[in-house]
Parts: sequence; structure tokens; C-alpha cells
Amino acid sequence: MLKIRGLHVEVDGKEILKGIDLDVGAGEVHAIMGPNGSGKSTLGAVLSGRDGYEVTGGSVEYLGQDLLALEPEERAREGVFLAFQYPVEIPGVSNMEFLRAAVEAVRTHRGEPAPSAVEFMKEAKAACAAVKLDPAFLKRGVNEGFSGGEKKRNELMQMLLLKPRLAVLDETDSGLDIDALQVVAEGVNSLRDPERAIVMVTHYQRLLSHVVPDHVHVLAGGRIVRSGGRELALELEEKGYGWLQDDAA
Amino acid sequence: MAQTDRIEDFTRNAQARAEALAEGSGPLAALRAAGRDAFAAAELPGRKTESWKYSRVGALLEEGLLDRPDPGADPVAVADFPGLDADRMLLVDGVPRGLPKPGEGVVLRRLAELAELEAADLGALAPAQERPFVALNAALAEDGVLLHVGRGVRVERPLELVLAQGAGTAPRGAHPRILVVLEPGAELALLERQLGAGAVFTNAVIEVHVKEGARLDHVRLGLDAGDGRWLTALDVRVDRDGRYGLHQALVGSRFRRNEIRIRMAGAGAEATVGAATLTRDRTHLDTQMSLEHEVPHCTSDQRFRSIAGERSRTVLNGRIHIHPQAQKTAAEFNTRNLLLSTDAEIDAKPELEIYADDVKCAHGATVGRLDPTSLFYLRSRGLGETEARTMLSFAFLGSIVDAFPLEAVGSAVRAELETAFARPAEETP
Repeated sequence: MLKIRGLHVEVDGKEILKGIDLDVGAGEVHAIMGPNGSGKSTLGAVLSGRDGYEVTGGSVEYLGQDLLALEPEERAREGVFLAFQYPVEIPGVSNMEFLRAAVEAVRTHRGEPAPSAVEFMKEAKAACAAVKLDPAFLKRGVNEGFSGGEKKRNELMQMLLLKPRLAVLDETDSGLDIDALQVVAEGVNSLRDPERAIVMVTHYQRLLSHVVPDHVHVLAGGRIVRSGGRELALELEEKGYGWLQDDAA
Repeated sequence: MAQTDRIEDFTRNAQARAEALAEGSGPLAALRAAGRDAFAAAELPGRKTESWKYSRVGALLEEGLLDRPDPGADPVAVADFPGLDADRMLLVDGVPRGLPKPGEGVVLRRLAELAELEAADLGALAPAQERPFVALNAALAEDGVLLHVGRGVRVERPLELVLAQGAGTAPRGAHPRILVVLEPGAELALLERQLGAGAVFTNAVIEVHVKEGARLDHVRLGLDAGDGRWLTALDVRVDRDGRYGLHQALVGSRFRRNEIRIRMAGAGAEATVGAATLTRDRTHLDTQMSLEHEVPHCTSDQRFRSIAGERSRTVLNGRIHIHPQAQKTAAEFNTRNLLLSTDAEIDAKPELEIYADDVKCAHGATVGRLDPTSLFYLRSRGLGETEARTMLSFAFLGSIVDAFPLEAVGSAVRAELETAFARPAEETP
């Protein structure tokens, strides 16, 4: 589904990713781990098409298309979803209005009918329930005044509604207490599907005890320095990142 | 005709009209007499008048804009707000028509029929000295409305104050005069609407007195673009522990200018101001805001959000004056502005004069474009760039409108502003 080859990315003239190779197949769950500043979030940002990240080399193929040639909204409509590490607050745009527009855009692109107001409401409420978010949040401004945990759950709620084919979760577990972590994990697990790929970017192992990955990659110094199964995550938990960073240097 | 000649003509014409109204007795005649004197002593603003720097007075001086309106004219259409159950005071070209029968403790009276006792505040809250158009309003005031809410009376139904143009097309001038007095502990929601798009000069003066512990929520709508020249002076006095909230949604027209002066005249008084404004095409909208903190322990909070598109101009001058004795004042003024076109102009200026040392005063003004992070967030969920831009631009105004105290009005206004925002630009010649 996703094929990354020799990806080099610069931010403000500084090389952050220094040649990434990664294959993610349908139905797989990958974890990308690594110390702070290793380039994990940059990878998510590049996949979703954020401005300010200059691809200086390599390619990203998604479902046979050149992903990097698509605008952010085209990627979203093709099924790419990035759960933000820091979801932005947008006072004045209600969550509901925003979600409805997003669902409409994505489904229309897929040739599915846009849901009626009543159907949409039902879906949105179900998605809220799945992530234990009070439906009253639908009426509020997008992420406006939400706590850190509520923002993360709101991201997940959007993901449940938009049903992406490739979901990238950028540090979705950071800043969550154990209950919220469980809720998020259940949400992610509910999306596991033979047709869908999930990439979890995380600093810690703890989410991975709830959402068991098929593959674990360690990103350090802008490169993937180690790949393995879920046992790699446990090894990291025990030893920290130090021994791998030495490898990268 | 040169501007100076036009000013001279206008002044002469106005004075003659004021002289013709010199007869009569009672509070309204006294107001007119004071207005005549003040007008004679004042000079119309010229190019060098600082507070008129960005608003050209020329639009108000055109031929016919002093002509008297037809007192029997039908008003332009006045739509109801779905879901709003309100009593309506209707003024057509400044002349009161059909005042509602208010509930207990509320008095509505035509100024022409006003008794001396009721008139204490008339002309005192909005003094005419050195304010030529306030003086003109007083000098030419033939009628108006007093709204008086008695001590401790909480008015359940909101009151609508509709300043409507007449339906006729002849140019004319209207000088509505309104006095609102809330006795101690009274509470009221007032919905003011400026209606009409014809070439009429409406020169309104609204005086408001919020007495001790009283509360007034004042929603003000001016959503008709077009040819109207709207000049409104709103002078508010808030006494001890009184609360005054002003919530405005305005679009630009040929000329629209709101001069607002709020005096914090009793300790513990609170004022909040929220304004959402939109100018498009070649319209003009000027807000001159002045907040006077005269006594200690008062709070004011002002938020202005403005969007200007095409070749329009938005002016906002926000003055906060903290007098020497007004210690422990908390005053905030915040304005955010969005330019949609390189030909549009926004002149936003906070102006602080602080003469007390123990105060909290914050101000900020930004003029900018849309936040790129928010834009990306919306696009990353599948919204097209145009759709995302529209949604964000509108959110900017929506956050003000959503906080309106009359919910039914808030949602109707939101829809109306959305339409005004989304419609295509007028062709420019």
C-alpha cells in the first residue's frame, strides 16, 4: 500500500530525514519508534502533505500513485489520515460543521452518497461513544478548549468517521493517562482491517502493549536503524534508545 | 463643488431647517434649542479632523440628504427572526410608529409627548458640544422614543428597536433619537436593527443609562449593504455594579459609522463589547470606540473581528481612557482583522490613555491572513482549499456571533453573514 524509497527531507535547509525506506502493506500495523528529534513527526508531516517540508530525494508511492504529487486534501480523499500530535484549535468552526464537510468531501470522492443530516448525526454520535467523548463536543469549536486527552480522542473520532485506508498516528499516545490510553487503543484496534494499514509513531512502548504491531522500526538520526517484530519494542523499553543511536552515528 | 462649499451649503441648509423647528416647549424643544446652539458653534469635520481621517464626510453632504422624510411612508420590509419572541419598536426614517404595549414596569413614550420629569437624561448622556452630528440630530429631532425600565424590573421579552428606512427612493435625512433608562436592578435585552439600503442619511443618537446593578444586553445589527449612510452616536453610562454588553454584527454600506462612548461611572461596573464586521465591494465601515474608565474597580472587555474584501475599507479606533482616580481598572481591547484582497484596507488602532498606575490593561491589534496551521488541518481532512479558507474566514466572525445573548438572533445573523461572505463580488466599473 505504501512504499517509501530513499526519502530525504529538509526543513529550513536542514536535513531531517536522510534516506528512509519503508514498506507498509494492507492489513499491517507498523510502529515507528525513536528518540526525540529523530524525525518521526517529520515523516508523518511529509506523508500528509504539510507545507515547509522539502523533499530533496526519494519517492513515496501510495496505492500505486505518487503520493508527494497530491495536495493535502487529495491525499485525505484518497484515504490518508494523519492524527495530529498537536491538534489545532479553531474557534468559530463547530466540530460538527467541520466533520460534516470532511465526511462529505471524502465520501463524494469515493463515489459514495453524502449522509443526510440525520444519518450523519447518528454516525457522529456513535463515533463519539466509541472514543468516550461527550457528544456535546460536536457543538463546540474544533478542539476549542479541549483538554490534551480530549483533543486526541477527537482526532480518533474523526478517524473513525472518515475510515481511512492509511492511518498515521503521530504520538497519539503522548500525554494520555492510562484510561484514555485504553480508549485510544480500543479505537485503533477497532480500525484494524485487512484493507487498512496503520502506522503509529510513538516515543514509548506503552501504546504497543494495547495495539500490538506487526512491525517495529526504530528511527534515529533521520534513518531507520533497526526493524523487527514487536519484541524489538520490548527490547527498546528495556535498554532505551542509546545503544541504537550509537549505531546511527 | 469644492468640499468647503459643500460644507458651507450643508451647514446653512441645516441651520435654516433647525430655525424652522424653533417653536414649541417641553423637553424635546429644549433639546432642539441646545442642539441648534451646539451646531452653530461646531464645525463639520474636515480632512484634518483626526477622528474623521479615514471617513470622508462627503457622503453625508450630498444633495437632498437634509430633506425631511415623508412621515407616512411605509418602511422597508422588516423580517422577523425565527424563534425570537420580542416586542417591536419601529421607527421609520426616525419617526416612531406603533410602539408596543410593554409589560408592567416598562414605559415607552414618544419624545414629543415627554414630561419634564422623565427627561433628565435627554441630551445629558450624549452632549452635543463639539460633536456636530450629535448637535444636528438634537437640532432636528422632531420625535423619538424613551424606553424606561423601572427599578428591579426584569423584562422577559426582548425589545426590538428597529431603525428602518422608509420605502421611498427620494434622498432624505432622518434623525432618530432614542433614550434608554434602566433603573437600579432592572434587566433588559435590546435588539437594535439598522434596516434599509436606500440613499438615506440616518443620523441617530442613542442614549443609554444603566443605573446601579442594572443589566442591559444590547445587540446591534446593521446587515444591509447598499446606499445607506448610517451615522450613529451611542452614548452609554454605566453606574455602580451595572453591566452593559454590546454585541454587534455589521456590514459596510455606502457609509456606516458608529461612534460609541461608554462611561464607566460607578465602581464595579462592567462592559463587554463584541463586534463582527464584514465589508465587501466598495463599502465603508467606521467604528469609533471610546471607553471611559472614570472610577475605580471597573472592568471592560472588547473584542473586534473584522474582514475586509475587494475595495472596501474598515476603520476601527479603540480608545480606552483610564482617568487618574480609576485605580484597579481591568481593561482589555483586542482586535483581529483579516484582509481578503490587496485592494481592501483596514485601519485598526488601539489608543490607550492611562492616568492611573494600578490598572490591568491589555490591548492587541493584528491584521493578517489565515492561520496556515488551521488551513492545513482542514485540508488534511479532505476539505478543498477554497472551502477551508471560507470556513476559517467565517469562523473568525462566527466566534463573536456565537456569543450573542439572543441565540435565535445569533444563528440567523450567522446565516446572513455567511451569505454576505459567500456571495460573489460586485462587478467594479
